[in-house]
Amino acid sequence: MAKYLLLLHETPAQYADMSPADMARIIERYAAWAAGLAQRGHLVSGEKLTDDGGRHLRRERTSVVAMDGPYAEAKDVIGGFFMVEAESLEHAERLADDCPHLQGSNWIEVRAIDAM
Amino acid sequence: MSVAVDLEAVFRRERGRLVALLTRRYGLARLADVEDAVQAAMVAALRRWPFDGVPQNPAAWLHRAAQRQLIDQWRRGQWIDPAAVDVDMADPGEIAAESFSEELSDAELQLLFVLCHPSLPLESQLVLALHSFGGLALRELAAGLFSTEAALAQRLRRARQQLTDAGVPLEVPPPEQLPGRRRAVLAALYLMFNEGYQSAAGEQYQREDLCVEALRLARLVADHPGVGDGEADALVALMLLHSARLASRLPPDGQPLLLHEQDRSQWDTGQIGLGLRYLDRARRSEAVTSLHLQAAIAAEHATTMQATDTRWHVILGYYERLLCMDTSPAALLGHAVAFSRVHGAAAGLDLLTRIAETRTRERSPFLHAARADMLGRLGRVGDAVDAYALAIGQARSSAERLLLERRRDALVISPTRCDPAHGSD
Repeated sequence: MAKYLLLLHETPAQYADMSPADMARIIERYAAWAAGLAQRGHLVSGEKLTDDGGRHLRRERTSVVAMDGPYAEAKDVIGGFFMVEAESLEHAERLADDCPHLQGSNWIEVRAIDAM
Repeated sequence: MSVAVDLEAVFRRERGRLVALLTRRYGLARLADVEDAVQAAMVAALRRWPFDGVPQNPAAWLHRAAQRQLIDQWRRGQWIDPAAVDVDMADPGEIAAESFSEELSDAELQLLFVLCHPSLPLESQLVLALHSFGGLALRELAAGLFSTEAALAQRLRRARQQLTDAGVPLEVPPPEQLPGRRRAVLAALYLMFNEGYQSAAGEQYQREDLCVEALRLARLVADHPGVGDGEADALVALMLLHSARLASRLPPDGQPLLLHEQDRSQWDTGQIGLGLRYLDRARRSEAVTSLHLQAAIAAEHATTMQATDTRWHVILGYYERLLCMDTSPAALLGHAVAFSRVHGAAAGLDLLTRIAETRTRERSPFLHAARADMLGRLGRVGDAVDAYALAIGQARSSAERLLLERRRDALVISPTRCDPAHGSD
């Protein structure tokens, strides 16, 4: 089993007009999805990231320059990530493809942790 | 993480509670800010809970988050009114505790009475109650209210401003105003439920979310010791007795069924029982109102386990009394259908013709569909098919169209197999 990172890309603005019932339904689907993964021993961890976009650091000649990352209003932010254990990249994709995150303009980036 | 609670119910309920509670705390002028804060709190939950799990007490979490959102708004200087700045003194823990006290339904009722204020046009009352209080998205509401999202947003802004300008106090009206104001609230809730039950636009045949919210708010009114009365009880009874049929009215296959076609064993007996209890309590009224009679008719249907056993003469009696106080197209149509069941399709058809002549009708297939049905029962298949064509032309959703086409096709295939006890749904 290898580890894979599911990066959850989203557009927070799309939630502004969602009804409370719709939001509750998505959360319930999430609970079921995560519980299913955990039960089958695939879920390693999951964390939400803050919306401030953090800071971007770059070395320019002799000094390090820090800049603000993209803000929450930005089109595409990484809202959080899940770490899963899977047989292969294809398997990791299958674990992610019924994740409730996948709705609207949201998307998931699946990356393999390089174990070599 | 596991979900031990019905989150959907929590979110529906807490939306209105939070808006009511926070509006009472910060004033009606802050209504829009409060709505934003509550929405933001729910979005925060949507984005956090998938990773952290659903908290032990979701309601308290949402309350704290909404409170924090308001404090952030204030810090960012989005509030210009300096009178409202006791915000950062407020302890989020305190407001969470308050939410579970008896005070809560008072706060919701106060807000409901303000949002359904008679100085506002009925449509504005509906938009405020459904959007500001019930949390339904404007996008969803626009279709049902024959409007656009932008127009509704503007209407909402104007309505909020009107309430603030008019200085409408955030309170349950004093006793001398209560009867009239309560009737305005009940009228708005009745419309809300109707819109959910007979979705007038869009592709949806029925909208359960509207029905659930209207029922919740109506029970708030009926169950409050100082505000509830028999008419409110009758409205709750009416809503419950209809809600009991929602699932069998539109089975999972998406093919809607008429009242006499439904599997009555699938009706929600819990809701029917509760509805009958409210109908019983509705007798505390001094007078029998239109809502009492409508609820009594719904109760007749709900307690008849075989469509062929329907006591049409009893129902006709209720309709005759109803017509003395309510001559809406729906009441006239219901009466004509009951009349045809007691006195025959030809007599019913006469009544329908008179309705059609005297009434300028809204876009609705019901009158044509009832005509088509009666023509079919008289064996006038050709005329019935023509009437179905008119009805199909006015269908408001694809499910409604399917239903009418199915009825028409059944008539053409076997004109003699007309059911004896068919009412409107």
